[in-house]
Parts: sequence; C-alpha cells; structure tokens
Amino acid sequence: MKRLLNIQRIDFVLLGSTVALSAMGILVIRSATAGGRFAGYPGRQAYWLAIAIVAYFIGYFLDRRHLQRGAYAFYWVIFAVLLGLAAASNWIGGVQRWIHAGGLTFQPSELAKLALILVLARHFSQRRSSPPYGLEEIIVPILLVAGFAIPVALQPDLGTAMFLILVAGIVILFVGVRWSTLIVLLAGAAAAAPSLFFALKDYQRDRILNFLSPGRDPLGTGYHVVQSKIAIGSGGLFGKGFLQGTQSQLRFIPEQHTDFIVSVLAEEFGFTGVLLMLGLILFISLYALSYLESTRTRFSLIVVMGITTSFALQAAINIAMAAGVLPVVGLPLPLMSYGGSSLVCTFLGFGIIAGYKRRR
Amino acid sequence: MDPLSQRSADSLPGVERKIAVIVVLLISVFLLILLYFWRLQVLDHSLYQRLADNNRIRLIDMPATRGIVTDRNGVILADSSPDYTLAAIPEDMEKNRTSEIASLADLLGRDSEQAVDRFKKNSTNTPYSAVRVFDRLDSKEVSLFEVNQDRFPGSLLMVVPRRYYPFGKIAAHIFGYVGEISRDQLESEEYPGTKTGDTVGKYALEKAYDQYLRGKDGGRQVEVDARGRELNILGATEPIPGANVTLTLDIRLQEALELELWNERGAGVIMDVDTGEILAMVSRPAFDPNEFSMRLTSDRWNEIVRDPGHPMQSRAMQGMYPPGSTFKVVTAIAALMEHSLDPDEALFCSGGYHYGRRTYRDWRLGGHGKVDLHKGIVESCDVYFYQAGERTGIDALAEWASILGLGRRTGIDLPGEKDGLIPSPDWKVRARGEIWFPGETLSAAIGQGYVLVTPLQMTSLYGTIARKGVHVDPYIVSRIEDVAGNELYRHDPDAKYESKIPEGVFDRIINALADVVADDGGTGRVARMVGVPVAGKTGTAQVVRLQEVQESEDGDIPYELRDHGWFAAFAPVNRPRVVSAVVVEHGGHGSTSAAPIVARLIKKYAEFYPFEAADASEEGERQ
Repeated sequence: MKRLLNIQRIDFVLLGSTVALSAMGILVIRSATAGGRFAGYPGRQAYWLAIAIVAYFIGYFLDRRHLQRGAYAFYWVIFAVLLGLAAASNWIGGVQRWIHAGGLTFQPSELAKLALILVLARHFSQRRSSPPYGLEEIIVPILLVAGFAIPVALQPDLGTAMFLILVAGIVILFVGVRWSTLIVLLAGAAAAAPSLFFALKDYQRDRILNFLSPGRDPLGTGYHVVQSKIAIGSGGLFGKGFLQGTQSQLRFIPEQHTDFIVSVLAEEFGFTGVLLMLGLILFISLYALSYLESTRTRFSLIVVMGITTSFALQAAINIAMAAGVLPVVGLPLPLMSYGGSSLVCTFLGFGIIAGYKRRR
Repeated sequence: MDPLSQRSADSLPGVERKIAVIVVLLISVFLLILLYFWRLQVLDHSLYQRLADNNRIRLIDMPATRGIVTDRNGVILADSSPDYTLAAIPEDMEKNRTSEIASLADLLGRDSEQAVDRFKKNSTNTPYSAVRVFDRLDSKEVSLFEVNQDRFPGSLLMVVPRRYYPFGKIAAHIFGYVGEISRDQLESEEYPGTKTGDTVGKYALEKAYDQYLRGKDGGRQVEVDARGRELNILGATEPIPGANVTLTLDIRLQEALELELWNERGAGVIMDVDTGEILAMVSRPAFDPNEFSMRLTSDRWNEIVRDPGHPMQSRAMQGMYPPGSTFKVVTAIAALMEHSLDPDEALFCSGGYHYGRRTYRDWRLGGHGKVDLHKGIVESCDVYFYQAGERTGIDALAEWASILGLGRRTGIDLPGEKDGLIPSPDWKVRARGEIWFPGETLSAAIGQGYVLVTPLQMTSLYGTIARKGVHVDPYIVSRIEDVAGNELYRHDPDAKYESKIPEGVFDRIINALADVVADDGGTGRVARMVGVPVAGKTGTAQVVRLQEVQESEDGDIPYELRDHGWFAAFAPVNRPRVVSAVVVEHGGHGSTSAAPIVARLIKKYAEFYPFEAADASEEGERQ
C-alpha cells in the first residue's frame, strides 16, 4: 500500500521531459543513420530508453541511507573496473571503453560520473568542520577524482577524464573552498599542465591531440567542424525537414549519431528544433535544481547539484563543440546522442534526484 | 528567513546564494548558445546555404617535405624537389570516372590501366578530397593538361615534394627508397599516422627512420566555383617538414669506394676505429633510388628484381661470404687463448697437410717451410692453420669467434643486417641433421667450409683487433634534428665492451698483420702505398672446390667459379684510426683484387683526415 502511495507521488514532470528529449534524440538518430550501416540504431536506442526508464525508478526507490553508505563501495567497484580497462587498453592495445557482457556493451566511465558525485557528497557530508575548506580538507577529494580521471585518461578517453575533473571542481566550489586554497590549486594546475604537456614526446603529444580531436580530421584543418557548421547554418530557421538534410544524408559529418547529433537536428529542424532542444535541456536542468529546495542534508544537496550541473554542462560542451566553438573532445550529448550507457546513467541520476521529493 | 539557511548544521552555508549563481550561469550559457545558433542559422544562413547547396568545399592536402639526409660534413645526400602531380576529386568528375582517368592518361601519354588502378586504390571515404593519379608531370604535360582542363572537371594540379637523391646510385643501399604506401602497409599499421596516397620509406634507412623523416602533412580547405577554381580558403594547416638526419658517412670516401667497386660485384666498409662511425659502406651493383621515387613500372621492377647481380641486396651487411684467410686471426686468437699452440713453435709446411684420408692443400704449391704463428699470418700459410684448428678444436674456435663478434649482427642502426655463420657440431646437427666431420674443422680454421661473414662484420672484427679487444658497435645515424633544430636523437657512444682477451695476444696478432704489409714476403704488400704503417690481412675465399684448376690457370676459369678476394686492414698500426674491409666477388686473390682498393681507400682517408706525423712515420716503432 505504501509503495503504491509512493508511485502516485512520482514526479512525472521530470520523467516526462527527459523521456521527451530522449524521444527527440531517437528521431534524430533515425535521420542520422538512415540507410547506413547503423540503420538499426534508432531501434536499439528505443530499447535502451526502456531500460533507462527502469533505471530511473531504481534511482527513485533507492533507499537514501543505502545511497549514502554505499557511496564508497560504489566508488571502489567503478575504480576497479576502470583500472582493469585501462590496464587492458595498455597491455592488450587499442581503446578500451566498453565492457562486453552477453551481447550488451556498457561504458563504465558513464557510471563514473555518478559514482564520483556520490562519493564526493559522502566525503563532504562526513566533515565535521564547516566550509570554506582549506587544502587539507580537499586533498582526499582530489585523490578521489584522480583515481577516476587517470585510468579513464589511460583508456584513453581524455575528454571524459577532463570532464570528470570539471564536475569534481564544481562540486568542490559548491561546497566551498578558501580563496587562498583556490588560488593555490589553480596556479598549481596552470603550472603543471603545460609542463606536463611539453614533457611528453612528440608522438605522445600528437596522440593526445588526436584524442582531443579524434583522428577524423587527417589534415587537421577542422574539415568536419566546418562541415558541421555548414549543416547547422544551412538549416536556417525551420530546417530542411526530417531526412532531408543534405549534409547529414550525404555523410559529411562524422559521428553524426553520437557527438555531432546536434548538427543533424539543426540541419533538418532548423533553429526551431534547436530552440526546442535547448529549452527542454534548460527546463530539465532548472526543474532538477528545484529539488534543492526540498533537500536537507549536505549529501543530498551535493548529489542533486552535481548530477544536474554535470548533465547541463555536458550538454553545453557537446553543443558548443558541434557548433565549432570548442575543440572536439568526444563527449556525447546526454539523452540525445546514441549510446545506452549514457542514457541509462542519466536516467538513473534523475531518478535519484526525483527520489528526494517523496520524502518531504 | 529562507528555510534553507536555518537547516541543520549538516547543511552548507551560503547554499542559496550558490544555487542562484548556478541558475544564472546555466541560463546565460544556454542563452549564449542560442544566440550563436541564431547567428549561424539565421544571420549567416545564406552563406552556409550556398556552401551546402554546392558542396563546394574541397580538401587539398599539402604533403610534408621529407627530412633531409646529410653526411658528416653537411653534404645533402637525400633531398626533395617539387613535382607537379595531377589529382582528381572523384565527386566532381563526370559520371564515368574510370574512363575519364583513362582519357586523361591518353592525353598525357601515360599507361591508362596503371592510372585507373592507382585512382581506385587511393580513393577514400572522405568526400571531396583530391586523389593523386599522375606524378612528375613535365612542363609539356602540364601545358597539355592546362589547355584541356575544361574536358576534365574535377582534375587539378598539385605541387608535391618528391624524394631526390643527388648522388644517384651512390649509397643507395643505405638510404633505401620511398614510394607510395600500399593498401597492405596501411592496414598493417606498419606506418602509424599515414593515409592513402602518402609517400613512405620502404627500404633501409628511409623505412627504419620513416617516423622521423616523414613529417606531418598539412592541408587546405578551399571553396571552389563550379569550374573548380578556388574562391576562398576556409582553413589551412601548414605541413611540418620531416626531421633531418645526419649520417656518419663521408660522401667523398663513399664515392671513392663506390667508384673502386663500380664494375664489380662486392662490398666494402670503412669505419672510424675509436667511435664505430661508418665513413663509407658500399654494395655493388646498386639500384638508383630516384627511379623508385619516380614510381617504377612493373616491367622495370621485374627487371631489377630478376637482375642476376641482385642490385637490391645490401651486400655490405647482408652478403654472407666465406672469409677465407682473413679468418686466420680468429683461429690464431682461439689457439692462443686455449694454449693449444705455442706461437713460437715452428711447424713444417710442405704444401699440404695429410689428415684422415685427404690431403689439405696449401695455397702455395711448394709450401712455406718452417712456419711459426707470425710467419703463418704474414704468409697466410694454410697448413699452419690447419694444425692450429685441429689442435684447438671446432667448439673452442666457434666460441672465440663468437666472443670476437662473428656469427651475430654487429648491431648497426640499419635494418636487415645478416648474422653470418660460425659453424659448430651442434649447429650442424640442428641445421643440417648431420654430424660434424673432423676435417671440417680444418676448413673452418682457414675461413672456408661453412664459415660466413658479412663485410660489415669483417670490418667490425678488424676494428676490435685494432682496439685490442674493445668492441664498439658500428653506427651510421649520428643525430636527428627537427626543423626547429631540436635534437630528437643522438647516437649514444657508450656502447663499448671488452672481450677479456689480454692485450698481449692482440699485440702479437697486430705485429703479424703489420708485417703482412711491411714484409717483403707478406701478402698485403700493395698496402704500403698508403704511406703509413698498415696492418691487414688478405683472404681468398673459394667459391667451389676446384683447387687444381684455380691454382694454375686463375685467369681462365669462368667468372662465377673464381674466388672471392678479401682484404681487411687498419691504420696506422701504432694508433689505429681507420679500419676497412672489402670483398670483391670472383675477384680472385685478395692480394690483387681487394687489397689495392682498401689501400687506395685508406690513402684517400688520409687526404681528408691526415694522420699525425708520429703515427705516419714508416719507422714508427712497434711494440
């Protein structure tokens, strides 16, 4: 009876808007893969959406105490998996980002974002002192981030590794650090980054740059970004129509069902389509942030804020990347890009957020 | 008060302010993105619409210039020269692309089948990118194309750097050659970071150092009009030239040695004794690497491959020859180290040695009379060394040969070096499934039978003797610098190790080798022309067992049955600075074929790198 009662209180606004954005994604994937060897992908994405909705409810019904207490265990499990993949990629060779099990493949670095936010929330919620914190209080969080970012970077997936660091940085800022500490950290990072980069051998540097803009641009002239911009710009106000995009249908754009999904949307549905998408993303983000009003604990504040900004920020980075504003780093657009792991993890995250309201 | 701020101590101070900041930031970021899309999709719509309508973006690569290879004095040995190349953009061509390529070939008078093959092979999945089809257009072909350009939409002229070797066939085996990457090579990832149509090193230095030499291609993205003319450049990346390689070679010596061996089959090496720097390394006959950078026809390729002189073989490090008498120093060292022989004991040579049921002949019919170790080396007495080998035994001989560096690669920094062969009973059972016959030990002792060495190994062996047992790995690449002058590689000169043979043993050997040249009865007398004391050893390697014929009427036997002539030498005796070994295939006696070449080469060396007066004196006191 109690459970039924809970279901009645499920927040259908959040679930509905995320499902709507995902459905929009499937539609664009359909266009991006039409007639090609990925023609089966929209169907598979729909199947993933069903799993993702289940994940949403898992997140929703998850006992909050378990969530809090299990954060470290969750972290270490993901850590072990990432380490294994990094080792596999370095010893076996090739890029290892997926776990293959029973015909399904799963990308654990997606779960890593969630695990990182949870473990940071857990860590800060256990501090007795109150923020702003100095260096000694945030040394453990920095180690926790490094524990994920380094193996992910070694997979190698530098884009995701940098994004993990960014998310952790936002969480730490949100919790509060002393200005002096912040300056020390930024100066340290600024000093270390170039020297690290230049300490690398030429070919290693090339390799990193290639991961930053994966080898899809052999001549390094931003060919694909230019093509992506042409797709977006030629879409105009109302677009060329579903399946009518000349740029997308002629395969001018690389990875157009994942990293460059926005280009396809913009070409075929125009500025109107972009407006709708951006509106939905912003709505979902602000709506999810509104849960902060109903949470009490430091843990839950950090979790809600972390999951939401991670979602919104990744979306912004991906879109800016497709529009040629940021370098191509290979981050998918959450909910829209093809990829089951990202979809399921995003829904799981929103389910966790939604779970906080029912305890009011 | 706001409920958030009065929550339990568990909460975060100032959280409502931070949330407000996040909300404001989020909204502004998304507004900015929206504004940017407004600009792309509404304000600049017509520009992008035009680009999309015509698909008039062309991707034209700007191939990097390959790194320059220079000799030790900065003389350019491998360079690049600009080359007109005709490329085609498949999407811009008429319906029937292959027939268009074929008629282009007809226009230029080129092989149309080859052109179509190349066009198909190099076509990629990147839309609107240029595929190179014809190289090396001469000015006539260029103007022919320009006049007829309207008939061939989608074709364009590019300027591409082509590898050029100013010295032609000289040092060809060191450089190897370059060529267009093949599909198999692309798939094998032998050449990381390449794409179809790229030029890569395919042999020797060009192949082994390809990563350094290749550089990084650039490219231009251009908007073109309906006739294929460039309207504007949308993006460009300048190519980065490959790194420059400096060799230890001295092209003057290389050239001199090449000319000495020009009409021969054979090989030779000259090396700095102290450092192991290769000053010249020659294999003859040679191929012309320029022919390869100009794209060989398959007929020409077959002709080269089937040439009975095997011009592609790098004989200096891949040619395995019986060393003949040059090997006697190894037998001598083995005998001395095993104490199986008293060097001052005189053995008698009557012109032959009876062993088992056979008589092993000496090269001098009448024999050498009483021979000790010194005379045995100076006069190259076979009978003396048959007995030295017999007393030392094949296993000890093989062991000391191996300690002296034979039977394995010298470790030169070029690919494809051969091991040579130092036989042993174990080896024979393994490789041939036969047992070792005692008589074979006698053959091995004078460098015949199964013993095989490369000219490079021979040079290295005599270098080790000159250094009295210190091994130095020979090398040829001294440093690599990128175009900005950053050093990417420098040869590490510390690769020295001692053979643990006492200096006294080497003193005795060197003394004898000096008399090979200095003594009137020595086989290397011709090397006196150098003008400084030279230590050396001749060798005459039997190609077939035909002793009777070859001793009496050397000049009349067919070319391929004649002996290989060897000479290995270093100078000056007191403080050796340079070592050289030459083999002339079917040249007959080493004293007449190879020794004069080595002598003239060392003399040439002294012209460029004069010996110190103290070392150069004929009377230079010997230990």
